[in-house]
Amino acid sequence: MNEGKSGYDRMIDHMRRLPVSRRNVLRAAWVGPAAAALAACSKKVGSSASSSTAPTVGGSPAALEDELNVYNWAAYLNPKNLKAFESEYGIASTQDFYASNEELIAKLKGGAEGYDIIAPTGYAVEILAKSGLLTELDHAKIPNLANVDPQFLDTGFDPGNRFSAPKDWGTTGVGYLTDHVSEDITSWRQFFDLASTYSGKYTVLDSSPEVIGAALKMLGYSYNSLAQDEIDEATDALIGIKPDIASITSSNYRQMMQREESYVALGWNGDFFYVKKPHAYVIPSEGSEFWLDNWCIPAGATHPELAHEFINWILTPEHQATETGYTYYASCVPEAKPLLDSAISGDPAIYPSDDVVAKLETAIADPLFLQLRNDAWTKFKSA
Amino acid sequence: MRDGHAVAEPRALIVPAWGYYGAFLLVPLGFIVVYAFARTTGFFEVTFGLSGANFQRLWDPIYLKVYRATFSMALAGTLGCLAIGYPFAYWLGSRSHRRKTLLLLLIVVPFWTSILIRTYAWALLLAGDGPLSSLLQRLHLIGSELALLNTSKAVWIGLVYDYLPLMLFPLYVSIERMDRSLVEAARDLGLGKWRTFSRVTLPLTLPGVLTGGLLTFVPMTGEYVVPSILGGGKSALFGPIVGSQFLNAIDYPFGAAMALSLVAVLLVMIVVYVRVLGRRAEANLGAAL
Amino acid sequence: MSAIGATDAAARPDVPRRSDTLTDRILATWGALVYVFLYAPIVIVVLYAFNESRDVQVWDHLGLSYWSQTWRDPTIRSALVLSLWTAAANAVIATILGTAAALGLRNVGRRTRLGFDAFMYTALIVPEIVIAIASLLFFTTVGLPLGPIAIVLTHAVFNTSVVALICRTRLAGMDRTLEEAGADLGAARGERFRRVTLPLLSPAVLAGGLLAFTFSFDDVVLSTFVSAPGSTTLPLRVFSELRFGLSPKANVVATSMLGVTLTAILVAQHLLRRAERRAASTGVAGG
Repeated sequence: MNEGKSGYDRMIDHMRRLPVSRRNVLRAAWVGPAAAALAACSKKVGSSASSSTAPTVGGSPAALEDELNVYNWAAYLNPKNLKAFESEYGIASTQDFYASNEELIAKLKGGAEGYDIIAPTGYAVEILAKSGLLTELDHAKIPNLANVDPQFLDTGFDPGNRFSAPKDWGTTGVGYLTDHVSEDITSWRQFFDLASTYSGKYTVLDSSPEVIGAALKMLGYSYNSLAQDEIDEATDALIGIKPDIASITSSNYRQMMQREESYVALGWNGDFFYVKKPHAYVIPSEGSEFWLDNWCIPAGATHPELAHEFINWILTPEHQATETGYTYYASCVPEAKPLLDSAISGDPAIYPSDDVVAKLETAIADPLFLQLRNDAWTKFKSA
Repeated sequence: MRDGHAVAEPRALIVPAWGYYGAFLLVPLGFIVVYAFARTTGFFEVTFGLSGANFQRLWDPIYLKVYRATFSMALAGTLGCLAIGYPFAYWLGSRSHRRKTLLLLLIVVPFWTSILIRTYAWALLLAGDGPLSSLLQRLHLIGSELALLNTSKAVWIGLVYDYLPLMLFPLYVSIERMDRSLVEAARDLGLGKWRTFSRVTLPLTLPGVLTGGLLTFVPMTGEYVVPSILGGGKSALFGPIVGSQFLNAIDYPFGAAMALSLVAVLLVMIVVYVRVLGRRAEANLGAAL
Repeated sequence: MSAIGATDAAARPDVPRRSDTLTDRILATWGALVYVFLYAPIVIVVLYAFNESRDVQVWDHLGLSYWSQTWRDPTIRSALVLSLWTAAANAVIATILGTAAALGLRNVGRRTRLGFDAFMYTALIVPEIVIAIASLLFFTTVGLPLGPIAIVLTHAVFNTSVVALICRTRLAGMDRTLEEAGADLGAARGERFRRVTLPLLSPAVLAGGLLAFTFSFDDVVLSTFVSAPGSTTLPLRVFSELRFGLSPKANVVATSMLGVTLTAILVAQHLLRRAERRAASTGVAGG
């Protein structure tokens, strides 16, 4: 559900995965310890000066509004956090959902109004900013931006963080049910090769950058290739496995896997945590995609002060930990990590080891990039 | 204004509706034409003009394939409706008068319910671990789980199911109005059952067939809901592809060009239909609707 | 829809059939099967709305637990409210425009009528997706906001045709002698309209309005393209719920929507048939 990008390249050799049984047990058990940890931490954090949650932080003289309208991916903001924010500030909130960055862009471009907070991925931030659809962030109102790991700031898609504050980051890869798939999938090549073995049990995201990118990486090309012939080759590879694909979906694949309607899925790391059956997640060895999602304020937002306040509020370690505990996507605030249950913080699917990323790329914001992939996508879908 | 008719509501009464159509139907459709000749530049910026670039792009095999797939799916769906609907309409035509109204009502009612619900019902029904699958498995008609959902077969089923009533109405009207004495005469002359059907009944009911065919084929080409729910995101039919130009790719001019080309083809079909049927076209359409 | 408004030709006496009992049986079976085909899916949806199992498509036992869960969901409640009032609003608009048009059309020349018909049928026959994107282009280019107002305005286009068609059929089937009698008796035009035409027409007007309401209430495609986030209609809510796969909430909402629509349709049908019968029984030839 998140296509991300935004650069941050580290080395990746090959992913190791935790033995499945241990992960299951630990995941089931994380609730208790994590809750206790959070409770303990909030006292700890509350007493520290830096990450303040006091309502009038930032010293903004403008009064805060009383309603926050969020437009977000589904299940991507912990309801507990939202409720806590509501009660702390005595405000009401609404949430609407989109299923892709393109949908977000399309709606905003189509004149949709009334949103205060959105969560676009990196390249979408650049597109929205260039289209004049974002409000510039007033950093004076978001002092907690200092909590964010500097590596995630000042990115290629938003130098100086004029428009965005990092939300979380993740990867795109392959998830599969280990009870049904006897092989250890470690590469895109394997993903493609095994399609006929598990025909009818494959799903891929309904998103051209990720899927075409996967094929491109398998063939040794860049995720962001703008070369027609490379993209054609990638599309043909995809068409080759299309008969084996049960469904092309960005929102239904975890349900399908949970119901064992599919065994192998091309998807985002955090989503696979919803699958309770024994499974594994892998970042293929040829490399894959790294994405960074961000909080932004659309241009013309009716409650900008509250929106700034919300961004500041959620960038504290404790709230970030609450988020990760719900979305299973890694936070950009390093101090959040120790607050998490070790099952989560130690899971390389959520927190890949530091040598991850040499071949992780992020999608670029280029009109040609989109158009090439749109045509290829149509070709793939009509095959 | 006053003539032989005593009734004389002012003609001006049609102006509000006509004006409404003008503003909210004609003008928007006009925008499609304007956008179809525009181009997308930069990040979703639209430059108006007289560019044929979109149509050139449409002439690519990728998109021609979309049209081919769409038309063959619509044709398959129409034929399915015809195959199911014709015998049914024939049977209905031979019921007693009182029964007919009730039976017709029973057809009409599902038709007026939401196409979304009816299509979703099939998603439920065709699910691999759903009721139909378990039933068929228990009857040993299939070996493992039903694998119909998320295929073009499922889309076909959905289309036939959703549009069957639209085929039925004109068929029924046509069969109803057929002069049965002609059929009787043919039988009296010694023509066998099938000969009678193909030589007498079918030609007589052809207007109904054509009308029903038109009324199902045309909407099927633009179907959006059915492929989305039953196709598993895999089918590249006109409806979802055009929709995604607006909702995802944000290439308004290209989407408009696609829409325009489809409308053009459909217009040709409708003109042919009207020519073939002559003046009866209007009567048939009106009666059916 | 020949069940609506149009009267059957004088009932033909059943012509005695030769042989063909086999054909008859086959056809009758076919007829029954078609009804099963048409209704089975709907029945399944309704059944599953009362399914108590955790896995949505595995049947467990009857129960109402998902009902409270569904209607407690604020997004679903607000979607219902939005659907109800947009459907009502555009039904009103469509009814006024359509009825007026049907009345006025009685008195126009052939070419005007054909011209108007072109628009009327276009709204009905052009695939909905085309009208949807045309409307999207229109609203965004002209600068009107997407959202509930856009939904109301867009739905009303199609529905005006629906109402106009129904009223026209009714008017055509209506006997003018009543109205002429009114004129002969010296009633002024307005009064004649109020006391003769309108009462005769009102079942069709009501039926048309109800049908317009249900079409709007159920509509997915138009709403998808002209709604703004924040204005989610009930069908859109179901549609987006379905993106995540089958869900018990969708079953419940679907069944509720069915209930609303069915009620409206049956009332509409009843009104129309009662009007037909009354017209027939007053001794005036139904035309």
